[in-house]
Amino acid sequence: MNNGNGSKIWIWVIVILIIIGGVWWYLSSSSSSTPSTTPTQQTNTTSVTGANPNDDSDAAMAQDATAIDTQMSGLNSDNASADQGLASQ
Amino acid sequence: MTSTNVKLSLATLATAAVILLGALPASAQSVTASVSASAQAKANAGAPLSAVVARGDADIAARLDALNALNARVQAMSDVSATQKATLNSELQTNISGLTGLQAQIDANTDVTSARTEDQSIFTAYRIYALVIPQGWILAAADRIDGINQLMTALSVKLQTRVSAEQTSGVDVSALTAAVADMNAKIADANTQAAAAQTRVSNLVPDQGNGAVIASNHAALVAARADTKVGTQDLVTARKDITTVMVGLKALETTTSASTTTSY
Repeated sequence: MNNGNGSKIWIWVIVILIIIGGVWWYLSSSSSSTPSTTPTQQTNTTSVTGANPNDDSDAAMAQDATAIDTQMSGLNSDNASADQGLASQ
Repeated sequence: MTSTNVKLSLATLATAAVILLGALPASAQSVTASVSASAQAKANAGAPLSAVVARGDADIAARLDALNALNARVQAMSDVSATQKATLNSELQTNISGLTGLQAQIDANTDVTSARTEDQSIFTAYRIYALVIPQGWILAAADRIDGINQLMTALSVKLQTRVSAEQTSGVDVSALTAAVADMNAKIADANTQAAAAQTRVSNLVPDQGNGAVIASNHAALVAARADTKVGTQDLVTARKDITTVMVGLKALETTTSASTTTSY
């Protein structure tokens, strides 16, 4: 009988510890999901450099397109940071 | 045996409760990053000095991180006016030094009431999330749009030259001409949108708790962000036009090369 009561108590202890662990996990998740205002991606370079303006060869235009794509990526990063800033108001 | 088990269980539960209570302030610190001053006051009510100081430190650290990230971006801006850049830089430095000083004040507190008051001033005296951060990033996006416009305009000239050359040689370039025209129109609109966004947010001032200013600042920031969204979409479309023209020119080169080879 005593052993039976002892087992029940231990089971309750385990259940309560599991619940406490769940609450702990939930609180940790809530903390980590807090909106961050730190930019998601640092693409700070804004140097505007394409190929030679007088060179309209395929290679030069491809270089221009690459420079544009790099800056477009930076623009996406700026926009994401602006959205985060507005969401944190 | 039963008595021992009960005591053991109670001890275990007490330990777990202490651990859980210890975890709560840490979570609360992160969550309060964006709460209002009144919510902060409520959270601090009845809290011990150490908890008030820790909460204040965490709130200031989050704001300093955001300000420093924005400051790095502002330093790299290349298309805003020197005056505008200096103004933004000065505003950031004022907030960074002010918050750093406030953090030292909060940390040095020995009186919980003073600490609570200084904690609240993080929200009332410094409008970091309400104004500085969104304003700065919108200006950064507008600056970036200006830079991309310059690159696209230079490339547009080259594309037009190449398309004109093909046209002179008798090739049908109507599709390519249309793509270049669309590209130029999108570049022009992106330029307009970036200028509008800059105008909307450049002269915004801290609200000092004034409800009307809070509302007008928010409206201006949202409208400016809408401008940069349109400008960004313009550039995305212009970038597709670039691909259309470059692929088209390549195809013409291939056709010309093939016909030349055949004539031999």
